Amino acid sequence: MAVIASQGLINTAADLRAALAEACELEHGLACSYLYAAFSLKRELAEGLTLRQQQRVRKWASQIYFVASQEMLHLAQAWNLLAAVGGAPYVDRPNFPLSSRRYPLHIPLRLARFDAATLARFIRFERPENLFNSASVSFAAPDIQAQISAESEFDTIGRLYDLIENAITANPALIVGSRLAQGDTGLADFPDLIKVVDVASAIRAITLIRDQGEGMKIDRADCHFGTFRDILRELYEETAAAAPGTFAPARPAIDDPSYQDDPAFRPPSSHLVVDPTASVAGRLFDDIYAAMLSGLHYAFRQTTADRWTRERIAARCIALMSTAVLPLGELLSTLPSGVGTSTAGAAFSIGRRVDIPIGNAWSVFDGALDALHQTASAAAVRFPTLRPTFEHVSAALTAAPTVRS
Amino acid sequence: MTDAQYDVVVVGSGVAGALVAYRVASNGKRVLVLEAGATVDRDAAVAAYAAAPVKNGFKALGAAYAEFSAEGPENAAATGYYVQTTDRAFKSTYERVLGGSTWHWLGHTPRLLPSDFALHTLYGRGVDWPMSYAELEPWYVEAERELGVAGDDDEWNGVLGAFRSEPFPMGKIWPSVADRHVADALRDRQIDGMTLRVRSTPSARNSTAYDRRPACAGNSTCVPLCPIGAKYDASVHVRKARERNVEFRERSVVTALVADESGCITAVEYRRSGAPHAERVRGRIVVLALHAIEVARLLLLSSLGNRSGQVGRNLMDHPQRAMLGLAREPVYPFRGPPATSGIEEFRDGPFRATHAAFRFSVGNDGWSRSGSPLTDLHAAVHDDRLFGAELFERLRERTSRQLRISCSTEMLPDADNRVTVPPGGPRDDMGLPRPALRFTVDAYTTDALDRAMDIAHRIYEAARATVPTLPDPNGFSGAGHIMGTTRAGNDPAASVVDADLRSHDHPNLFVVGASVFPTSGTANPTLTVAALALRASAKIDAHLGSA
Repeated sequence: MAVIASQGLINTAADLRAALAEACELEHGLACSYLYAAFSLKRELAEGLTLRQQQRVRKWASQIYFVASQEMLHLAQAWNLLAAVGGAPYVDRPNFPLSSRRYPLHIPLRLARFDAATLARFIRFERPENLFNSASVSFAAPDIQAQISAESEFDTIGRLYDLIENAITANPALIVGSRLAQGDTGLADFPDLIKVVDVASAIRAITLIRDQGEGMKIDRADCHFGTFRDILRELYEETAAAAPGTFAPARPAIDDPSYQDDPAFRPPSSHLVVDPTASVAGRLFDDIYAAMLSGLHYAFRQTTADRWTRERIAARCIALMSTAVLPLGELLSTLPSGVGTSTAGAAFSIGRRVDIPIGNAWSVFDGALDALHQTASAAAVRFPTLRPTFEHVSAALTAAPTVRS
Repeated sequence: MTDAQYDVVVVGSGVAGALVAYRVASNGKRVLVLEAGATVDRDAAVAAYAAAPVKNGFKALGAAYAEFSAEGPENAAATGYYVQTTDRAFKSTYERVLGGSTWHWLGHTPRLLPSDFALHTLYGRGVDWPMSYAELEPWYVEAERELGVAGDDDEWNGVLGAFRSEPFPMGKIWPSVADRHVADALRDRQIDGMTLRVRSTPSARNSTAYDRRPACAGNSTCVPLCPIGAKYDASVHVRKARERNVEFRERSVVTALVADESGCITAVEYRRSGAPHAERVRGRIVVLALHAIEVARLLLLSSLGNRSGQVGRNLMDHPQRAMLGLAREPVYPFRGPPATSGIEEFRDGPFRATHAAFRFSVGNDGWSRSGSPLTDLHAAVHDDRLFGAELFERLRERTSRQLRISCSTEMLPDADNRVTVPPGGPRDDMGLPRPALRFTVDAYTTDALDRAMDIAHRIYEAARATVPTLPDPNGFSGAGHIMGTTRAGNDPAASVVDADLRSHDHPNLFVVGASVFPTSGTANPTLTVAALALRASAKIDAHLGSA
């Protein structure tokens, strides 16, 4: 895939689907990376923040969560684009950390806590195409400026979308997929989700993705690039305003955690979390995340399944993002990792993901969540100091979804 | 001592005053803004609100802004700021701080309907506005862009005749679980022969990053303040005005206007907090943007602008009534803004010849307006003697199912509903007479309140929700939508300002804000206030250019 993109060539439908799969990996990976940084941000005054700092840090968390939610919209949009050109929603991605050579951007895609270097990486991912003005980050330390301004083989993720858009525009016959095979605003809770049925809607979909963040053609303050840049500027301001060394907005979450005992599924440069409490929470997170991916894959892909089941499963998955994934992700960044003084973190690991079958999908999916509910309930008993979070997650895994139809 | 002359002196820095200052200064004019209150430190306001022992369900009265506010209805002494002259007290309030009442507003920005501008022509009630919806529509577009309004074009274009020439700047705020619950209940049903639809309410609240402000993060404390600035407040345009060299004088209460024999306002007299003597400034144009009660008070104290006898009269609000319900399943309130959707079908119709129009709002704040969840906690502990897991379960189970459907009802202008300043009456901390209010609600409005509650009850029936307690059939609350006290009109004998919002009596005096509304309609007034202010700014520019 990297070869295709780096050569700037999309000659066939298969090339196009491969490029879109690459886009899916990037959107998905970025969402996880952003979430990890947001999870690591402190929340309480008792963590050593002043009230002003707490308000700033909470605002940064909300901004990063919002950007992550838009990346999820972009992923759903990329799924629709894939379906439109005869592909299927692509949910897989390599486990973290990824080599910087995985994509032509030559930027490492990894899980790291919130700090200036992490923000610099985020800014670099979202840097506007062609019109980036390095003076706009002149407030940053020299090494951070250099990181943001570095050139790469491809300017931006936008270049990938340019190739995709050019390919579709040049050959409208590539739009072959069923419009039924796509997600709409009724299926998933994304008000801006576009069904791709022709070249015009494909361009709208790609423009949406670019306008919101990747490879903006203009340096606009309200896109992902501008948001991360403003957060970085505020980080410098708050650091300068505080006594030296006293402002620490993030917990010391370990980089690229893993809860995979089996080395076959654990990337070589990841860090195995060994604390027993964090291990239980981390594995539960990964299992919920995997179940959620399977559910969303089913909802978007299984066009022959009944609509009601697809909506119900999608609604349940989306609800889990805020009721299970977020609280567990934030909890993990507070727990010791067992590695030095670092805390743990959510690994977003994908092992062998088994698709939900058509036919008894709801029963299978509900059964999977029920098993996780049992796990969370047991954890609540086993770790009484963490009972509120585990009970909350346990309840979320049994909550009935709110479905519109 | 008379200060140096300004092109424009603006009194008040709420949304109307801030927009005028910003727009006029953008064209190179020298502008001074006099504000009774002070700059709000958002973090300090958050801290004050967080520390308030009683959140009062809807807002901690005065707690967030006490440090920054001039004396007003939110923070007056125990005797109260208003002098109430009727049995039923007028309860709506406003903020006297830099940025005004948009600090504590909910953020809803629906437009008025075309019929709202022609109530008398269409239904023989009230009066007509001196402009039409079509004339104001381009300014609605500008106002939505300036404030940053999130809405759904498909839902709103053409609703009840209100066409839209441009899309909303942002997509809508996502509907709450309660919104969907009510929408599902109304699907394929009719009430009173009407199909009711739950529509997302246009809001000056970022659904995405906009104007260098973050998207809404669901803090749910919009009233009394947004901790992250996702909800618009006029500090946005105060900042923009400052960037254009507008001068702001804080803690400066305007005590009088002075006019010459030709009627031109020659001086604005004000007193700074703690200063023993008044100071004066002059402006080629003076713009009053003090909010509806204060503007009437100032003109009455100055004995100006009132050849029509209408200053202070036609005081209006949107009387509200709420019906609380318990859904059969959790609707998880407090995840997101206190309200995100409404039902618009009763905002217009032939019935307006006999009773008022009204608008429904679907709440996302449980029963907080009646004190929940603190009242639930008190009842569970004090009355039912619950504690531990049982207490937790009771609160979780009950609070998660709480629903609210409220109505906001239009009022007719009534000359006897008014603001006065009795010379012998009680004084405020600046020694000025406190505003005396007379406010009654007639059958045109109370009949609508009753009808609205009947429909709300049937909505709950459709949703198979229970209604533990019916609302007081004689009760209503204020909406904080204070309007009408210097109404606009073409007839100088019956109005205070003309269609350009210029005083009929004083050629260099403009009034902006909801005090100029001839009728109330059912829309929250702020977007219309902003649109009128922007339109007036253009008139002011033209006036300065030709003078």
